[in-house]
Amino acid sequence: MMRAVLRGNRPALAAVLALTLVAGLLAAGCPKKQEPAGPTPQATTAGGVPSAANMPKSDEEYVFIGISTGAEYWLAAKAGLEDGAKELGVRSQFTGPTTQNATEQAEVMAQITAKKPAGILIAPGRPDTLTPYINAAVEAGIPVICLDTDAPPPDCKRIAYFGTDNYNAGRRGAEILAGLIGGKGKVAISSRPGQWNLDERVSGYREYFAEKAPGVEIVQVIDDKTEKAEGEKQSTALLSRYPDLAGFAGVNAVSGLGIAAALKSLDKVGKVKVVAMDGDSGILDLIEEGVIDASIAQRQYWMSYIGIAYLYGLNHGVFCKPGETKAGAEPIPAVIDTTVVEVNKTNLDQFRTPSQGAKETLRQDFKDVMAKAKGEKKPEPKSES
Amino acid sequence: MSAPPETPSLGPLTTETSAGITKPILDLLARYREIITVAILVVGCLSFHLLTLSSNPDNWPSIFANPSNLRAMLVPIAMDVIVAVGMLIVLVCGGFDLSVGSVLALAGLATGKVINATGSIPAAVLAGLTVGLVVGSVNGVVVTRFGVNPLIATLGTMSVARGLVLADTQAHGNTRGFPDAFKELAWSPTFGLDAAKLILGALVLAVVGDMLLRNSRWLRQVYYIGGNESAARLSGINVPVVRASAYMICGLLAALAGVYTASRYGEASGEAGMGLELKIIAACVIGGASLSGGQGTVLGAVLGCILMNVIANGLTGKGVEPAWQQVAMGTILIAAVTFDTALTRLRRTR
Repeated sequence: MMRAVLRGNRPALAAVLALTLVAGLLAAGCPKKQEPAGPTPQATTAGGVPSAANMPKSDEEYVFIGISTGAEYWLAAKAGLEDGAKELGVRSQFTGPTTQNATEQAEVMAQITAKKPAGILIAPGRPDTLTPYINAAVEAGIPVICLDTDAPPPDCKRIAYFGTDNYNAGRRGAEILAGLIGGKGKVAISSRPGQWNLDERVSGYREYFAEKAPGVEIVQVIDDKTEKAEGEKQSTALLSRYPDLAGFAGVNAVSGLGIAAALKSLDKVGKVKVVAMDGDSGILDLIEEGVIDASIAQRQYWMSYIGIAYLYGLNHGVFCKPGETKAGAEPIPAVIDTTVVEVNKTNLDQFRTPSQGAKETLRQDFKDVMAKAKGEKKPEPKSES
Repeated sequence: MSAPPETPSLGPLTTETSAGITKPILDLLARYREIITVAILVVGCLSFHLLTLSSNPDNWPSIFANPSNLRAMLVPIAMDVIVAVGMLIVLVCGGFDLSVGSVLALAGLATGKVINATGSIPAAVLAGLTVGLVVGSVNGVVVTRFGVNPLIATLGTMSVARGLVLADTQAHGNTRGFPDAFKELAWSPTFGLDAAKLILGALVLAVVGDMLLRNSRWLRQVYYIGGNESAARLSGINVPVVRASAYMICGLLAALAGVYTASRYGEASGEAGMGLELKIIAACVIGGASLSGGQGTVLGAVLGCILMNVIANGLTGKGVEPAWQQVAMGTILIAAVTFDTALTRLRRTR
């Protein structure tokens, strides 16, 4: 066969290429989805007999649709999804475009909707673009919860939103930075003005300083375009303009990298206190090196962990939609702030794991949610549309 | 007992006989290169169907072949086809247009601004299409008049157009909040088909484009120009005009896709169409277009678009992570181009 191909024998060449294509597709098609760990033992019903309706439906699938899914940020969200799925005995899928393109995400959403999963968790890249698609899924009978970014009602019919309250995150960062510089001095912020979630964090910084640390002055908010190179350029320029700068905050995952690079090149490491954002490995390395003093990490793990728990519970009669009342079911909170946590040299190692320490430090109320979801009562029949 | 039949003298049998069967097949495949794409498409669809067979009644007969899933593929295919028709014409003419993604975004922006300012859909659509025509003309002029390499020329317009879009979105945020009547353009459900206008529009464009490219005397000239430019010029074809028109058509169609995008997704975003150009070129090439020009058909380009979307859809349905989907796409593109090159070389040696 090989000799035939090398001689340029057309049918052989075509056959090899076709086989390669099919083989490639089949290999790529090897399931990368979460397989259930096996049925978890269930409490019996009131009648004392475990009925078929009580057994966990291991063919249920919950899908998380992210955006810019190549970013390290989502690894923790994926870990939370998969861990939650494992505990519940269901399947999960983590997908979404590798680009920042919301239109691609919308088409993925359309495709996943056609697949009719048991529930969808989505971090919409742009609320306007995704809202009609989310509504289509809800109308098709699939419950949808927004994570990390919200597509808010009344336009969007999503059940709930779990994510970081960005304003509060900004305040927390300000609190840390003010503490580091002794409550007074000049600071700068590296952001991407115009991106609404970052603007909210910057507001948090501003208002915290205004209220609690008036001695701290924000001299400028620079635009790092969420790129390390651009951030480094702008940070260097700013540091040259303000040689007596005491502190520097970065509000997106990349900001800290640019700030750190600028500090290194201007030999100002240690002279300027830095508070960064998120716990990507680059930031963790810089904290270890001592270039960055602290970072504010979000809790993506918790978002998907309770997301899948609530969706499962909703499908099985344990929870009901926010605002509804149903006998024996607890309403899902419409909004949950999963908060942020300070990362510094003391807890750095925790963040090296895929769950970024969120699994080990799982909040009691979130543990309760999962326990409640698992200790299901008789599942209510899903209404097909 | 009859005498053994006399073997007539036929001369050397072996090479002639094998050439006798293979050459016609090769020629057939070369002339109807689409057969290969169709074959790959059939294999792909069948594979995904078999890989995603499901006992769940919601996913009958398989996750892939389920009617809702197939319908969900139609919109991205339609969007790609609109741009691919234009790109194909430019490729056949021996050129490249890397600016289609940026034109899509810029046209969407223009349309969005006009609809928000005036509320008039015809005016907004016209504004968008004009943007496409203008950028296409710039591409055409720079390539033909000033003789700039099309790769560089369209790279330039791509950056300029994208820069203009980003300058606006960074200053004002994404243009959004379009009136519902405008969104109707890409959302009109008819006969249970979501976005009927968009899909039918793309279908009509593909059919008309294919027919014109094959049969219209004027448009067919792009094949001659792409095949052998000097010969084309010597036979009296006005090369600069035809070539510039190809770029204008490409820009116009990319702009049309931009208008539909703004309507479908409710906003003119700064990232719209990023990376589109390479995806569309890949689709055209998989469908039989040659990067050196003179080859390719609209039908092939359409099949290429369908194939790329089928693969993306199938892999997502099977749970393959998005990063690996990119690997798959790139592999298929390389395989397709290798195959085409091998095919050409084989035909030459026979």
